[in-house]
Amino acid sequence: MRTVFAKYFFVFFLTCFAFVKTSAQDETAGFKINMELTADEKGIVAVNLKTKYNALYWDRFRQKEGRNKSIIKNNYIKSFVKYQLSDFDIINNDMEQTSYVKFNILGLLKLDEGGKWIAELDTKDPDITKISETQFVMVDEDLAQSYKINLPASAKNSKIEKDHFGKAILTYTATVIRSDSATILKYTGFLIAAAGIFLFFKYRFSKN
Amino acid sequence: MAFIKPLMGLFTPAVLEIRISNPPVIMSSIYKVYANEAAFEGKYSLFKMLIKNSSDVSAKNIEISYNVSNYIDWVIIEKIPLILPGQTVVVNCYPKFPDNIIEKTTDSKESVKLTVKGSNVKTIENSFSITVKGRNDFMYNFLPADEIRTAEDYYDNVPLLSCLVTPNDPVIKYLTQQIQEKVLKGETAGVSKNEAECIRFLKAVYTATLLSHVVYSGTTGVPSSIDDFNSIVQTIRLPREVVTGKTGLCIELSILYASIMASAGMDPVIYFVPGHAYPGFKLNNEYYAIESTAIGGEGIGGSKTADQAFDMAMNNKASFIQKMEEGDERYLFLDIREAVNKGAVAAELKDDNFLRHKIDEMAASFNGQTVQPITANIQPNNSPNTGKAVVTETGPAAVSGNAVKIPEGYKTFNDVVIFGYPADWKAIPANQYVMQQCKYIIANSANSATIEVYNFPGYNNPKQALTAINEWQKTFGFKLTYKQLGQENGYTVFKGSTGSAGNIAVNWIAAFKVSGSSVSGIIAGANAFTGSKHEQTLMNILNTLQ
Repeated sequence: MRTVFAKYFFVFFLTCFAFVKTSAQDETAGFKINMELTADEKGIVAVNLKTKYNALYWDRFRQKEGRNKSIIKNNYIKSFVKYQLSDFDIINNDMEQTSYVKFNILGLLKLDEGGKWIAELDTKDPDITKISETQFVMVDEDLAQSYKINLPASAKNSKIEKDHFGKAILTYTATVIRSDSATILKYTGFLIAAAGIFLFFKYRFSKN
Repeated sequence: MAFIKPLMGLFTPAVLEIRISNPPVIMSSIYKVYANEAAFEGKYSLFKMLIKNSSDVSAKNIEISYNVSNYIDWVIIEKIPLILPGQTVVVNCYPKFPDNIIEKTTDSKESVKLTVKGSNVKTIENSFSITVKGRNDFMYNFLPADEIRTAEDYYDNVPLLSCLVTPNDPVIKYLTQQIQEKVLKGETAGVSKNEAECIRFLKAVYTATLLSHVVYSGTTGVPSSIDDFNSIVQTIRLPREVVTGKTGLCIELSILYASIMASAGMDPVIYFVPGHAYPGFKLNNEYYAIESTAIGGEGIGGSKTADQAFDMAMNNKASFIQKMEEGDERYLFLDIREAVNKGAVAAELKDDNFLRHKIDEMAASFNGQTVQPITANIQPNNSPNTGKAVVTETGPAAVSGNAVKIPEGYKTFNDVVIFGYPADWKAIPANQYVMQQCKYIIANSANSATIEVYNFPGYNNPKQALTAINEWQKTFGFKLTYKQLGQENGYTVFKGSTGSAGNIAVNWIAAFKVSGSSVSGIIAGANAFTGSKHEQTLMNILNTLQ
């Protein structure tokens, strides 16, 4: 999800610093980001983002985009232009100098014919650590950012792979709830097996 | 009974709901951007389709295809093996328009038809109509007018102007060669990355347009405000059309300059201010500019020289940077190579003998006109006051008195004070910000570092000089902040900055001394955005002061 990270950073860069001329060190010292991405079994990715600012940066944030939630929302939509964003919930808490943003990304995860979920990372060397089959994390202390990716509880074989173009992709398999021919085949298989057994015994009995 | 539902799925088709969003128009000049999924992170598509499986049955082997009347035959965009119940997928369409779309000069209304098929879904057919604009119509954004909130929204498509920068156009390449041969008599700007050489090239492009009688025609310009909906679509001709048509808007001239500079291997940029645009280039993180519209025309008050056009733009650039740093989003800056790297690639243009012939006719007027290398000595007559400064050849040179050594590559200035300065710096004219007691201004070619030479008759204390300069600057809203560093070689040395509203514009070092019945000295400074780049040079200058 490096793409996601980069885009968040981009958005926040726009959001926070368009008005300010400061050094890179100052920029990162002004806020801290915690982000959690949670994928469900239908491939919807829920984003939960908390950004805590120091007083100076909070004032700047409120002065620009922070005064109008629709600007924040539009910035996210622009940053994820290939996907569909929905269910926005944005809360700016002046007392805590913290901004809370929630939304869903549709279309980020794709399902291939083998039942494998795939997310393009748009980078060659993502700096992501696998914690468990269902959890990946990335902590960037220099930029005061931490990210957590939660996969569905049924996720297995989760890993970072490379696609045909050498780009990194996050893949995993998960239990797919589907009312379709795969299930039907299973039942059909049972029926055929039952029929076969029936015919087998019928044949044997008739022979006897 | 658990298998009844899946069994029903054998006979019940999946139900897909689709939702399509599309831009208001297709700009034919950016057809290569549409074709590239990676360009601007996929921002420019023909349409985006949301497909949601709203049934309890998985949809299988979904295939999405589309066509565009008169341009693109049926094409499959994507095959999706499976869409789970409740799952939503997003499909973006990046159309490959034929190259000849760039020949389109008028608008047309086209229909886009699309189908969604699948093994167990009922085929969905949909369509919408869209205007395909002619190659010269540029739309500054694709947002609905009532959703535009900021200047950034309004100018959302500005990076796409790079698609009109055509360094590989055979006609523009030919023009570039003619300028290199007949105006510059050879040049190395693109390969040497030498500041003086690049400025010479920029001035040569200006001179070439001037000599070939290209004139400025200021019809509809760059939009001036975000409620300027009349100019949200602007007619911008390709550089080859501007050259051969011999008239150009500010943005057209800027794009022409950018094309020629890119063709010569330089890094062109375009500056946007409300209602206007002007070109320049980037070199070693320094930015340079020229006022391309200063070619004017006889009907609009004549023309400026290349030097004047360069000085005008460099002065304007300083306020441009200040506005940009203040966060005024109407002050934009387009780095052509950066935009090309993001996918704003120019159209394929064919060679044209007729246009080459037109270039030949223009080039005939270039003969005998050259842009000299910038090595000329300081010319006091061009300076603010007609003084009698004595300038020696490039150093090292010993001068009278304490015989301070002038470093290699420096020239000596000898008037009310004596000092050495880099040989490629030159005198520039005064502007309204300079007070009468400033006798000369010497600047580097980018005007980002300057030496101001002052003489205050009747003063008897160096501090009086700075107080007077401060009072003068206050009338323009600027203020001097400084401290005295001490005494050196008879001079009182100060270090300080000039700024406005808390923003530092220039950092400087000053040295003044009492000389007879007056105070004289220099202020050597550099624009704040250059950081410490000129610090050593300014110290060198100060060390030669006597």
